[in-house]
Amino acid sequence: MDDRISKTLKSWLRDTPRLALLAALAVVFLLPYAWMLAVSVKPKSEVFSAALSLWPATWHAAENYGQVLREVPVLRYLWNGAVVCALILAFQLAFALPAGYALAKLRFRGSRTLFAFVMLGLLVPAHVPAIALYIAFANAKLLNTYTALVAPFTISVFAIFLFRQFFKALPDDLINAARIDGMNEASIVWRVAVPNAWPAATAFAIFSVVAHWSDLFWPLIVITKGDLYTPALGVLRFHSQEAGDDYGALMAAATLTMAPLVAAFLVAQRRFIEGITMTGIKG
Amino acid sequence: MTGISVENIAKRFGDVAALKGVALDVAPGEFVSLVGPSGCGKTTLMRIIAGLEMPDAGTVRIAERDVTGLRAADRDVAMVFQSYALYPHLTARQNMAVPLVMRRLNGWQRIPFLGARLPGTRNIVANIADEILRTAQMLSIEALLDRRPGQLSGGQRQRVALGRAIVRRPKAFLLDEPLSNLDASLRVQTRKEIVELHRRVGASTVYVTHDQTEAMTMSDRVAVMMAGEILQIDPPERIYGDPADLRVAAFVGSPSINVFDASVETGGRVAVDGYATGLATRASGRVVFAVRPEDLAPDQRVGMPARVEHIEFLGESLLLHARHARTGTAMIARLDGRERGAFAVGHDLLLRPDTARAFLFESGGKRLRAERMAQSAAEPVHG
Repeated sequence: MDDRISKTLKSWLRDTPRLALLAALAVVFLLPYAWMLAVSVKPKSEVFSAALSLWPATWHAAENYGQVLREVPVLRYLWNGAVVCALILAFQLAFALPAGYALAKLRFRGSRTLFAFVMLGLLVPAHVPAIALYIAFANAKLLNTYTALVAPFTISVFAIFLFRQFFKALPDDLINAARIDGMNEASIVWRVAVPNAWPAATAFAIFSVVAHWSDLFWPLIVITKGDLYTPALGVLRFHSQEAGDDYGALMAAATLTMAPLVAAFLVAQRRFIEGITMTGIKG
Repeated sequence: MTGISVENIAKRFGDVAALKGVALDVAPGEFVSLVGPSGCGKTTLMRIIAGLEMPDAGTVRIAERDVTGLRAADRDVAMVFQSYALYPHLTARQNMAVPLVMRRLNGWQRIPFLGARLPGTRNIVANIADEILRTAQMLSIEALLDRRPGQLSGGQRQRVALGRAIVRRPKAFLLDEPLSNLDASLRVQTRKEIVELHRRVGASTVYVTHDQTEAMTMSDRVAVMMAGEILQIDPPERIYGDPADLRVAAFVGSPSINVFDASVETGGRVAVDGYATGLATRASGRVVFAVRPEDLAPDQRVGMPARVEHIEFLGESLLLHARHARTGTAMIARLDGRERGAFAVGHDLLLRPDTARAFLFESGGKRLRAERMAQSAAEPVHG
């Protein structure tokens, strides 16, 4: 019994430096969020006081959050964000999964060239085609629509690249077995390749949703009407004009915006880990 | 009536000719092995039969139907892969269901939830479940049906893979080295089971292996492949006892057949470094004289002079590794294990081939029909 206790103690001691480093890093990364939460429940006077304290002296949560919910249709923004992110992700997966499969497993003329283009696409930052896209949407009279928010992101070269790498690792025999069992290539993608690509798909989903949920740049360009504001744009509304520099309300809005994302991440993270342990592709 | 018929198949990969005009006929219900060293084209030939690879030339017929241009999915063949290739995300039961579901349900009926409500789906699904259970009983894997491949041992996966292949009663059954990932004892057992299974299922079967024991023990006929060609297709006993090519003779049999450089002397008599073998031929010049280890035995009076280099005792038999005293040719004789005490490393002795069971080949490797000479001619020639 003592032996086991000393053993666990030893392994604890061995892990301490590593854990300490990780904990320190975690604090560094979490601090801005903690500060956001703290400010969101403080009254204005305390926000600007010289003393640094995380815990508010007077509780001002109801006022701050109440102000946000009263003055701005936050729920509407959250809904917009959810719709936009869901549409973007759905289209990205619908295009990138078959494309990744084709590039990884099918032999056809020009596949190398196509893949080279995908790689080139990875090098182009989203801001480069922004002006051209804006003009195109303006001419098509599509500004201030969901289409303008979603369409530019439906094809993700990163996703194609990611899935192509992942599918490359699937054994050829597995694909051949599926062909012999009577599947066509489309069935193979959805019935064999995708179910074995959950870890990659989940990782990409997190990446995509986080990126587009908090994207400020593109919605700022194509959306001017309030009822199509995404959460990130909504937060911006507290910045200057309407509410002045009301940091309490601003942070309350930011917290409300972050909350669904954090919740979604926690749920996805569990699946993510399940997905990894499930991949017994060997054999 | 043929089960599988392959004509003039040629296939190149870049500059390498993988198959050079191969022909193969498998009768309905016949079990044919493709055996050969790695890289001989046997797997390529099987993949062409399966439709996973398209030949550059030639035709493939399955059950009298030309399937050369058809995709694998439309050929009605089943295949067991070396790696088993089970779907890792499906249970054994679902794995076995895939070929039936893909063939019997249409696209609408395969849609999850919705498909089950369409007319007819329920009946088909029930039939499928029935057939899976029956096949599973045949392979004694009922208890494993709800496990995923990751939870199965190698032997169990192999059975599930076999089950997935036979569950839909295919016309042609292809096995690509299915035993090579199993350990030795399991391999011997599974060998027997596959043969029994084949008898019960009765589909034309092509079995690819590099293991001559598997090929010899399991098949009705063995096709020995080398360098993209089938050298000989015959029942195992003829492959062993009547090889058409030196490469066939050398590939089949363990230890490998003894091969000697021989010359044709006057009257067509074949001699190995002055030893008259007792065989004659109409060919001239250099030929190859070959005799299996069990047909080479020590003799008091006549034979090829040899020095014992190494002795392997295998229990029931004894392998005598020797070297020809003059030419240095290595030879192996298989003797009765009870003679163990009679030999020692370094001994000089005479090894005499059994003329009746020796073979002659051209120097190019093709078999020469030899004539046996009268017994008196088998005396040593001097000089």
